Amino acid sequence: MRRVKYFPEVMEIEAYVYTAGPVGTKWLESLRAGKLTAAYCPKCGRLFLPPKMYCPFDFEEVKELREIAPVGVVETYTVVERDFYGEPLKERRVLAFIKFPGVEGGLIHYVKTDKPRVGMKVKPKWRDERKGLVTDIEYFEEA
Amino acid sequence: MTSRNINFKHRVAVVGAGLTLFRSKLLETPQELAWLAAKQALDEAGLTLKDIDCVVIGSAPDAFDGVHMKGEYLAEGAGGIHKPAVRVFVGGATGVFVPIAAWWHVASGLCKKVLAVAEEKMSHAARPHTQYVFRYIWDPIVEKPLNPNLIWIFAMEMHRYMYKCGVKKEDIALVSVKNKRNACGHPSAQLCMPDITVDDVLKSEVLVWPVQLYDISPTSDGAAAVVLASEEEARRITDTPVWIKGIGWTLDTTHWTNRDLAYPEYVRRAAEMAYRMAGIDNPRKQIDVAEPYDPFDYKELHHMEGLGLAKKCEAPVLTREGVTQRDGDLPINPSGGLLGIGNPIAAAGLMKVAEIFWQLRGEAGARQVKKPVYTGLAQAWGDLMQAGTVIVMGV
Ligand SMILES: [Zn+2]
Repeated sequence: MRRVKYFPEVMEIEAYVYTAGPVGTKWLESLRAGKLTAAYCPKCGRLFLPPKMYCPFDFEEVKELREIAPVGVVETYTVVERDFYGEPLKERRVLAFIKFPGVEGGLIHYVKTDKPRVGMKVKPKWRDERKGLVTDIEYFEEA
Repeated sequence: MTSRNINFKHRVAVVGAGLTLFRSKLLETPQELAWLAAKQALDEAGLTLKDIDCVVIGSAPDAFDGVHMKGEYLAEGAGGIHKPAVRVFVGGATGVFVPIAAWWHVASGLCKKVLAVAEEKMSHAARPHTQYVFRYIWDPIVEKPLNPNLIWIFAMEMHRYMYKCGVKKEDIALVSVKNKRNACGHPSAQLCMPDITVDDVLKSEVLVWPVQLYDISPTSDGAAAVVLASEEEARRITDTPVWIKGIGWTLDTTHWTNRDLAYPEYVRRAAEMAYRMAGIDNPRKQIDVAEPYDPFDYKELHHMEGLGLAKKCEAPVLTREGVTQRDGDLPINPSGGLLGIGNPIAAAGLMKVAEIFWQLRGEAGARQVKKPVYTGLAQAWGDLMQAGTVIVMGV
């Protein structure tokens, strides 16, 4: 590259440190405790994911999480063959959008299965050592 | 004074305002901060989200919150889902540009009630420092190779102003002292310093001479919101609407080497546009209270002069004489400004608009200025330090 013509630059801050919000923090804590929860709106009574401190439907303040049955339904899925850099994965992975009955929204997560299908009932496979991350669920598996 | 604002379909009023805490780091997500401010503004107006026709969102670079397309991301917390929503962005000038854009939504007749929300979460850009976001605003050919720091510009601008006007650092420090003390009356304030003195400012760490630590506003997280309504709606909502009488905005060149560093031409032109609309020909006499943009103490002086609230080089004199204090003849930044309340970029500008709204309604509590006020002004400044946005409000 001719230096006089081009000025290369990498536009990255070294690190971002994001906050999860007060309700999001509680949600992550419940994951660490091995519980699946959803945000509960006291006004419209909806349960929803992702958790946040306001109801996206009516703008009401949300403080409470309610435990939900850890059984979801695959709404749609894909099969990942390559990694972020385009290299083939050792093992192909199923990534699904999972909805939980009575809950608005849902979760994207891995599903360990050879035969994924829409409508498949799945449950979380919890890690033994949990850190308060969505990856405390290692993957979902057929329920 | 009568408005010359005769070409517009609808007069526009502010009918509610909301503000989060300003802090160096808040737990709430950017969406949640937007919601906190939006909800408060709606509550104050006695409205709910259902009443809102359109939403205007303001936020400075995506790089602070670390979420690309921040407008779309913020839309839900700002109440913009399934409504015409738009994000506007003119850097630090964004906060005052948000109600300007919301104004034309209503003045045009397109929307009757608009929620205008500004948010910034600078703490996300964590390492090495929030300032790093500003590494990429420079001209890549003539400036970037020098490894410039943002404060360079301000140091040189401040020094030029000091030189041209014969201003001492002691005079400039008075602004910081006034604003950090004023902030003690503000429930959102990050830097209330009731006992700060000029000496403290002069003894604070020198960052880039002549800029010292207490000459600068902090980095902050926060959000602000206002609700705008057409005249018909406003009169239904409240007995005390605050009218938007004039708006103005301009850009100067991005090359700061090609601007008059001692005098902010971008503010003068934006102010002239707003004054023409508001029918103001003697701002020093007709503006009762003002919130000029003060991320640095000297910028308050600079901007007062650009706004015609002081003659060239006169702002330090007015400051020394106490004219700009809360109980003075021309209260300037009675809120505590960015120097005192904090500086979550876009939210800081909109905070100033909220302050003028509360001052004109007599609802500023401990911050209420002593004299009766009928006409107020808020101004912000940003982009590559050359965008000026001005709003004149009145009761
Ligand atoms: Zn709800």
